[in-house]
Amino acid sequence: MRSLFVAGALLALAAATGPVIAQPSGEAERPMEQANAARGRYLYFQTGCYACHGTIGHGAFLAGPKLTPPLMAFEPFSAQLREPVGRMPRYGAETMSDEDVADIYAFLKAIPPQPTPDSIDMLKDPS
Amino acid sequence: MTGGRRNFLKTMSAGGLAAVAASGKARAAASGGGTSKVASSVPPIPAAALETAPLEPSESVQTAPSDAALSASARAQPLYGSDYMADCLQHLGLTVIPQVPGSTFTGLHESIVNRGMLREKPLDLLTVTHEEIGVAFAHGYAKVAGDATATIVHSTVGLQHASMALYNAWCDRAPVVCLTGSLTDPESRKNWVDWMHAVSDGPALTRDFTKFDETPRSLPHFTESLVRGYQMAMTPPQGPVVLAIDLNLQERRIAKDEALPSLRKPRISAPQGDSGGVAEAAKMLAQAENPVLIADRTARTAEGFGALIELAETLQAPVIDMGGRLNFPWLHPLNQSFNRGAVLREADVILAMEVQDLSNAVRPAPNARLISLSSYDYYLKSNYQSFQAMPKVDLAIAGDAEATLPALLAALRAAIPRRSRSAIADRGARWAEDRKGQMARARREAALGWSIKPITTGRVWAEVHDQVKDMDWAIVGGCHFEGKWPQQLWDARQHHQYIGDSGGYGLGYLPGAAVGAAYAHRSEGRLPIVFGGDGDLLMAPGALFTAAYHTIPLLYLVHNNGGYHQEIMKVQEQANARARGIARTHVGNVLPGADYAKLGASMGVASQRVVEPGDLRAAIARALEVVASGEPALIDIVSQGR
Ligand SMILES: Cc1ncc(C[n+]2csc(CCOP(=O)(O)OP(=O)(O)O)c2C)c(N)n1
Ligand SMILES: [Mg+2]
Repeated sequence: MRSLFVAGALLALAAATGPVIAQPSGEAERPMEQANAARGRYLYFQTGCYACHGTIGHGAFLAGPKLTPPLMAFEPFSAQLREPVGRMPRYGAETMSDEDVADIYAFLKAIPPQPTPDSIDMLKDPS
Repeated sequence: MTGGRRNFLKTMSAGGLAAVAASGKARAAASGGGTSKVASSVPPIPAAALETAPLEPSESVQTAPSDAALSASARAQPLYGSDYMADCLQHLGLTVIPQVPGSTFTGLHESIVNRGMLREKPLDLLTVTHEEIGVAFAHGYAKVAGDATATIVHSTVGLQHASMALYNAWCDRAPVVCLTGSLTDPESRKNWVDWMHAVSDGPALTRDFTKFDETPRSLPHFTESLVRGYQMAMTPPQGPVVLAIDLNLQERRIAKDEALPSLRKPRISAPQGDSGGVAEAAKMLAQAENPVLIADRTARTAEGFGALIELAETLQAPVIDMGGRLNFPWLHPLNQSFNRGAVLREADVILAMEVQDLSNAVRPAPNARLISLSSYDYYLKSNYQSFQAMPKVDLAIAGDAEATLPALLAALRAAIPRRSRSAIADRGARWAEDRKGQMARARREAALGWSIKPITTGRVWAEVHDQVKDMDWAIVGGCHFEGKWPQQLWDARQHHQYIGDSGGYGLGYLPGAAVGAAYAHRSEGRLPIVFGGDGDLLMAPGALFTAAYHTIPLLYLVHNNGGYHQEIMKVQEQANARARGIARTHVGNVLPGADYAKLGASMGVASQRVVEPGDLRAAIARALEVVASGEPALIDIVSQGR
């Protein structure tokens, strides 16, 4: 997957989606518990997760469901990427390594809590 | 106001939000506008076109005959075939006429501006920049006005441009009367271009997706064809019609003793489902444990909207609104449109009313008995497959749902046994409770990513809602790619507050249709709002010109997600299925760098660009001020893909 990456392509994609996602360094093999959220963020954009699930995994109507909060356990998360149920495209090992999956998961896990409607005047329950 | 607006616009530019062109009113005032006493929009000749300073009106110069001289009874002036045609349009109420001019209808064009626009109840000829916009305008207009209007297109090339928009109107069951010029007689073709644009059977191009077409051979035949066309367009299932109007016929002098058109505008009474079928449907619904109502293009009018509420409340049955029109109040406790799977899994009897994609709509309920009540069964054509997959229907009632609802209601009231009443009430209470949970969930989800960039569609709609909720708003676009938040959280209680989408999913619909719908809302003093795709806007950006030039108030929010996001997702899916990675799938799908605020400003629309979520509130407030003053305003919102 990395070999397919074209710098110009990412730039164009970033222009389409907003902020440029800088490619983090430090991609050496490492155990899963050391998953790299910054790299996961990069991958989340580069492999197109954002397109259906939104830039922070908040989900979108007619696109992809919300990923977080709450974030599902790692096993079903990984399984859904490898052998997806529903309309989601398959992310096989050819295009996404186990390490990539773990990093994307770490990115989603690191997303800060989002506001609740009660904290936003215009979203408060009017009744 | 003009001076104030200019200051306001300057402030926006100074704030770096956007360059904004002088507003329509400002331009009109600057070039001597407002001097015309004609009610319909006759904008002044722009100074630039004359290469001179703005013209000052002069009492002493008489450039046009008086209205009296042009009146139908004054036969001192010679009249022409196209005067006759213009009168027919007026008699039928086809008065709002968007068009791109063309030499095959110069006769009618001249008659409209010099006769039709000067009469009582004048015609209004509008300038559009693409025939697709003209048809989409008429399409959007009809859905709000509840009546058809006409658009005129040049022979051959004009109709070719118009064709996709006619397909949208066909799929959306919307009435549009499209006139196209024609040069039937080879003797009247003056040069090679005339030959290029001449066609033996012009309407053949669109015959697969129009309800009726004709090439009238005489003026009485024109009258007859126009009335027939109108009647066909307006009778459910409604749809577009095309009339080719020969230039010779337009130019023909009318003899002094020749009769002027005399026609009646028929009131259209829609076909009702057969009484036996209605009685059977009522029985099935009355005996059902979990009846479900599915609506799509069910309510054409406020009466239809009210009738569906009555039906749902009588049965205390959940309603799934597929959104072809506003069929049912969005916040009604029985509105279960966002709970479709759960509702249908319990269903034992389903009544589907004018539902386009019925087999898909009822997929979660394969064992429920299905009643379809639809005018679609009356009229379809074979080639284009807009009729969708064949659903498994138990009782198919061919009839217009809206027209049939009163009879169905009466039959249902008689069929519901007294002993069922408490079970029916319980059913309603259960769905009402569920609806509260759905609303709470929608609010929670709208809060997600509240402060992120690109801005979420949930935030955009919430910010707009906060400022317009007490106004007489109406949404004039589909919202499908914009999260459908209004359908979940806005209190729409009137039929005109939403008009569905294009029908045929032909891009380029939205700008024209939104402006046409806004035109129809203008006389009611409503606030039309649209939030739609950047790709859709770039297909037909000239609609903004029409909105500005003809002073049509509209709040146009651009869902700027940097491209054809739908297709980004699709190509990505394809690439993933082939295990080739997605790194290149944006190629051919993105539209980076386009600045829709500049685009709007270049057409005379007060425009702003918003990148920061925190800037939305002020930008919306400024835009609403512009719209309240009677002009269009645009906000280019850099937004999430979905
Ligand atoms: C005339 C036409 N051409 C192509 C398409 C295919 N198409 C469907 S959605 C889409 C992208 C629309 O872009 P935009 O309006 O910006 O909406 P987005 O998906 O980005 O939200 C395209 C090109 C179409 N529906 N109609
Ligand atoms: Mg887009």
